[in-house]
Amino acid sequence: MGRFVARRLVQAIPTFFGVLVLTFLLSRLSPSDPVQLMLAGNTEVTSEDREGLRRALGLDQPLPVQFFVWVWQLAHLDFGQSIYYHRPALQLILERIPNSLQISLAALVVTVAVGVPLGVVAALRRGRAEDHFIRVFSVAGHAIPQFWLGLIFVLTLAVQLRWFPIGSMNAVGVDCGLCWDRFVHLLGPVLVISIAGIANLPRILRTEVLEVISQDYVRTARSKGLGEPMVVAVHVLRNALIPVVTSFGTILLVFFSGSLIIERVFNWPGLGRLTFEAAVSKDYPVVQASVVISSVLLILSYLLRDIAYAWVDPRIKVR
Amino acid sequence: MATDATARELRVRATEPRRASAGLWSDAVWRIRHDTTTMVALTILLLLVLLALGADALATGFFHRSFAQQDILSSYEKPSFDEPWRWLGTDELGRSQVVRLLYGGRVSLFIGAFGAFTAFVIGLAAGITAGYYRGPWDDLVVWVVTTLNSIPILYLLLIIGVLWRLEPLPFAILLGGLGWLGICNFARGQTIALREREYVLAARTVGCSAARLMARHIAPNILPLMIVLAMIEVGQLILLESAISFIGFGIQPPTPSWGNMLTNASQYLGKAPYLIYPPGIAVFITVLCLYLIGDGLRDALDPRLRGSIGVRR
Amino acid sequence: MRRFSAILGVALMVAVSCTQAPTGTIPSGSSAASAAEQPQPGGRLVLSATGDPKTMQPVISTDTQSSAIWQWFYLGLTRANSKTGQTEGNLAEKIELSKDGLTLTYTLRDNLVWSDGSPFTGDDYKYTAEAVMRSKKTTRQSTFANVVGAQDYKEGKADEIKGIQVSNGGKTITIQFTKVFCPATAAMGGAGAGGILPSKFFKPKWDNKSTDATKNIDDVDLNMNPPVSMGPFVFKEFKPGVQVTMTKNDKYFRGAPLIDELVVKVYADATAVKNALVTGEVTYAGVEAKDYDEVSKVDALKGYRYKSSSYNYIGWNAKAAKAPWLANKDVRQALWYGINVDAIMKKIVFGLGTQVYAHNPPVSWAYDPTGLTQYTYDVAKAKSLLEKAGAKMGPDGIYRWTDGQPMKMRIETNQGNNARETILQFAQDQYKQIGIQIDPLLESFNALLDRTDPGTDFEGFILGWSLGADPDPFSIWHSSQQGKGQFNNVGYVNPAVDKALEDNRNGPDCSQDARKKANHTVDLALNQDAPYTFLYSQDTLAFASKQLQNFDPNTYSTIWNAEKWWLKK
Repeated sequence: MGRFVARRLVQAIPTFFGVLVLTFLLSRLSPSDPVQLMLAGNTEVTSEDREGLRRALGLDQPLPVQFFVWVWQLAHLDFGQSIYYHRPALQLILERIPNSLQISLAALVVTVAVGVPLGVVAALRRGRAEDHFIRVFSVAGHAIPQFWLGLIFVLTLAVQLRWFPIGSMNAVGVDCGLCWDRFVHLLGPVLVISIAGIANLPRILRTEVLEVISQDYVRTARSKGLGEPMVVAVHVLRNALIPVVTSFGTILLVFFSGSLIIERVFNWPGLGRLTFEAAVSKDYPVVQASVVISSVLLILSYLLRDIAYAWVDPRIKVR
Repeated sequence: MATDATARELRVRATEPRRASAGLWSDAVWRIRHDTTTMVALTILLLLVLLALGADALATGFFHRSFAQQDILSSYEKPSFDEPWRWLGTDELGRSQVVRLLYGGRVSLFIGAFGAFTAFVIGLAAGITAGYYRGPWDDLVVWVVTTLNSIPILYLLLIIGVLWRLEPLPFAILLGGLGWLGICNFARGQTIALREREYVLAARTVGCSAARLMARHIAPNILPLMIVLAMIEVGQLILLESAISFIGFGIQPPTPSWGNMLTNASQYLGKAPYLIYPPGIAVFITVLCLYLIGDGLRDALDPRLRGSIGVRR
Repeated sequence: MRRFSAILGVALMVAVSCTQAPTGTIPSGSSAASAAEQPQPGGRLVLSATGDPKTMQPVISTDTQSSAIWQWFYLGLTRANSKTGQTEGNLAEKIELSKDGLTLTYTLRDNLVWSDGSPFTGDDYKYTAEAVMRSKKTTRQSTFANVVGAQDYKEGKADEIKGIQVSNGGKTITIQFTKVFCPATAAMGGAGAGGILPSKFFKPKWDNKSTDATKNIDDVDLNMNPPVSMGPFVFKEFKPGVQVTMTKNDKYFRGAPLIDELVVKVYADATAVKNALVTGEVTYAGVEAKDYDEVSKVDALKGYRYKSSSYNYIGWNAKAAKAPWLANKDVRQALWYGINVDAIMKKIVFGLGTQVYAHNPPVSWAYDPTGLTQYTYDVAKAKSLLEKAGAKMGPDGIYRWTDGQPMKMRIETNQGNNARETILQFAQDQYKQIGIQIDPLLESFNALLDRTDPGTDFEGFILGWSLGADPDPFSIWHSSQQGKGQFNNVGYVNPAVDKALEDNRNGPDCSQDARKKANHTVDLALNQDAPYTFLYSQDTLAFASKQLQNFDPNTYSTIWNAEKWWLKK
């Protein structure tokens, strides 16, 4: 397993390099002059000021040199200063990551906790009507625009019915992490994000379960006298977990992509919302840092998923 | 006696599902025709496409309103049956929501379709060539694919949307330029598997050129499943476009798209809640139909593949 | 003080809630029996904002999110009466202007202390003024344009502003002017910045007694970490993206507040603030015109509606490189005739404001509508004015200007302000009907301010002005105010107006009558020259939870009696 992990880590390096190149190019493509942006708050700017800042930022160097300077800075964890907040970009991002992580981890837990039992129930039902229903249901989960679902949630369940808070991580004045208040505030964003995963799992599980149940080794287990639940639990679920783990990939990608909008809709102070606000106010250091760090997290989570995959299905390691 | 047996045989054969393959496509078509869910989805989608294509004709002939036509004195009106253009109500500038929904559909469907087409072309070309030639080209393609896969796509679109304001056509190409990754991976995987098959090796020994090989022997074999992926891609791009337009970095008003109609609607949740349902439901139904058709197509082409390709993101 | 403002009323929001706000179960007992109304101390006030503050220090503050925070800590020597706008003493108890109008003397109240007990003196005032003059990020230097020694200090030729003298053990502040400065009593109280800094804490970070003009207060860490306060609340902590927390200042000179804690919570946009208001998460907030109806129906809230000292307009840049026709008066008048402002009043403002035709808003004492043209919507007249100016209709329905170019231009405004966004779309449609093609652009507020800095790269823009009580339009309309960071960004030049502005500002006749006349001259000219299409002054629409007692917001201040507010449980 160790060798597998090491190999995958090494494979991730060129990818990370690609991310750095892309991020760098995009920011340099901006029609706004970074010097202009940094001096935007100043009402008296002389051309000496501009030249001085240009030299200080190294913008008079050729592009490849600028790129390597930037990478060198990143290696020292210097992601630059936020133009809007006047604080290190890295600090801002690190503050927000735990907030976003809460939603995605909770979503993962909820997806499995709700989806797997639903899947088992679905698996035990045969019949054409159920076939159709489960098929449509699973696809419907992916077809709903998440942000729209979030809006409807806030409009109906929060504002009109007052069953849920309208957003934020805690009620005002409450400052706890692992508590009921936080749980209640998490429900909205987590439910909206998990819908796709929850809808999909029953179908995947059902297919797997149906396939596995007819296998020889299950028949052998049954003939040995093991009870049906035991058979299902031990043999079936282990194999059925493979696609469940695959769907983790879906969820993680959804987390990173969808978090931007969900965090706005639910007033959640997370990384997605920070990136959005930074992009809108042209705070490029923060946007760059956010893209780079999100990519690192995404690469790491793909790696974790592959490890989980390999653990569940040893055949994968050989590939 | 012989006729009796033959008749019985014919009767039996008639009731058996056709097993003997009359060709991949006719088999698939047969299966689809007998799959109610897919047929229903297909019909609905066709209806939506027709409505969207006919938006101009309907706007002038039936509704007598254009999508940008403002009538501020009739703003914030609830849906009513008085006149066709009021069926879904009006927004803050008195524009007909039902007409905007049609035009928005045209824009969104166009972006989804054209974007998927672009993604299809790029993904197919990159995937097949990468899988066939292997070597440095393959490495390059794989590198680009994994890199792009590692950046959350909304962030990329956000940055680009902040820098440039895009019209529907360039925007569709942009989406296509970011959405070809899954198609490429699949095409590449299939190509790698296929190039070792006997008929491909045979064609090579006979002296087939690489281009001819890829075009005549490999592509047709992976095409059917690629089309499934393309259908699903259309759905994903429609969702993506509506999301990025919703936060204001996609299609800019006054050009309507289902996404930017929702931006407006979200500000009027309290005052005009009826504004928020039509565009969202429209997106949902369109994407649902696309996914179901893609699903059904895949099942029809090869039921064994159930679960291996499908809705990923 | 003049300030840019996004008219959302987000600046002065005060709300009250106790942990989980009750929703609609407020006892509606009559408040007639005042004997039973004993103010109860304690509780938490929750205000709202639509963004994090960029700074918590008045010198470099240019946006309302920032001023909404520091206004609680840093006060001025004087303040405007919340209803009338008249200057009254705040930290100073006596204000005296000499007969020749060249010397202003403030006498501070006795025993003024900061929240940590250290004394507040005139040195703090002088320090703040000097910080303004040396800052590279401030927009407030014009306040000191007529103060002796201010320019010398700014250029590093002196180590202090000679015209500001502190005496009598710090209790007396004397300001010398180079010429008569009519708004002096109103404008000088905030040391230019609007609030006075604690020099004891800031001095180690930036020393004002120096001739080094390159150093300033702009990047000091205390800018985001106010150490002490003169106001009713003291800064406690700032959680970026979440909220700013403050606790009560027992040493506040008007008396310790009854409320214990004040929180300013950040929301994504005005709709989220409205949702928070309706569900009781935030107790006091301003609402947009479109939401007024809906929020009025909420039982638990009490509505406050009053005139505001502000107005919205469409600005036309006469120096626009891509739209040379904007320099032509007939064209600008046509643009005014060509937009149906009445419909805007009915359908976008919903009647919750007054239409304006010149600069001074109805609530100002300098307001005088006599002789102003009302530019009633008239498409034919607009078109004839365009043709009189030399425009010829093209085959596609768009006019061609004298240089042959189609009359196409951009109008931009900020996202997040619903009324402005709607007006933008409306204007696009309206101007199409008079043959002008508009390219609408929405951007962030900061980007908008950046782009509309005096220059040639923008054409039309929709913005608003939030004005102080003293009518001094000098910095907006005088021809000398067209430099970077200044406010005459439409390139308006009119010598008669220049003279009237100078008379209004530097007298020598500072009587209200004379100033009113000068302002009227300015208004008449603006009305005819139409550098802006003046739109409307919207009333401030605010709602507060019925629990909040003694709350009395008015045109010129919402928080003037914050120490008296209390929460009825």
